[in-house]
Amino acid sequence: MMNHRVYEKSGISVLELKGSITMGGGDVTMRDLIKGLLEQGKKQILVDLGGVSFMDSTGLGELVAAYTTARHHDATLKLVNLTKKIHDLLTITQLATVFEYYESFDEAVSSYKK
Amino acid sequence: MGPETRNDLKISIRVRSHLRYSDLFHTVLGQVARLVPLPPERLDWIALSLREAVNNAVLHGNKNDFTKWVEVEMEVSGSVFTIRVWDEGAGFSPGVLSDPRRPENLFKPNGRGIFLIRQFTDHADFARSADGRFGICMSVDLDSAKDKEADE
Repeated sequence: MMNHRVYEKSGISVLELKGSITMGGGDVTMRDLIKGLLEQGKKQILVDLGGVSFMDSTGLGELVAAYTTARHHDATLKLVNLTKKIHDLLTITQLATVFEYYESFDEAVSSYKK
Repeated sequence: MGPETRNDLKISIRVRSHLRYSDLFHTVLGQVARLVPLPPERLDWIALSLREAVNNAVLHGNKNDFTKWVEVEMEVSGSVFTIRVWDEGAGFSPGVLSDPRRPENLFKPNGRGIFLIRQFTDHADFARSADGRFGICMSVDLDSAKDKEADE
């Protein structure tokens, strides 16, 4: 089960996710939330995965889809607060080469200002 | 039950083919993990492999047909923990699977399930049962896992 919170900070739309992102459990919600932000014209989206305890290939796939959808909207989607397990997943699948991700919130926010 | 009797462990659960049961199998694995016991640092990865296999069985094997069945077996034999997931589909040739890490596949939303299973289990193979069902057989060597744990 996935919980979420969306808020704005320093001009960046933050999507904070918690729990599991799996097929039928959070995957569609995450997709709809990011789609909603893009439809609102948000260009800087930061997905906070610090509270995500479990993610399957569907969750990973949704992140990839969100990344490419954001690019098509001339928006930038970045990740922050990866747990070791999520980082391992991104590394093993080589998605770590696709995503821009940061250890801390401040680093992530600064990256948008460069 | 302690490790000395873990060879007694053999479980089979058959459910109607629906994604809602992925959570159930995940919960059962959590209980089994304590009985075997499964190495804690590998449990999430084994659970991920199980979920991927069940999702594949429901979506690709049984093609979302709720009248079909998915069966999950968990078993310990010697130092090997095995999970088999059976569906009633036509099956497929593992040779057709492409590497999701290749540049042309990296941005695709699908195609990582079997790859992850192969990464997180010690052995994964496909089989056809005597009654015609298609299945994936995944195993984890508990002794090598222990060695790995000791090394860390």
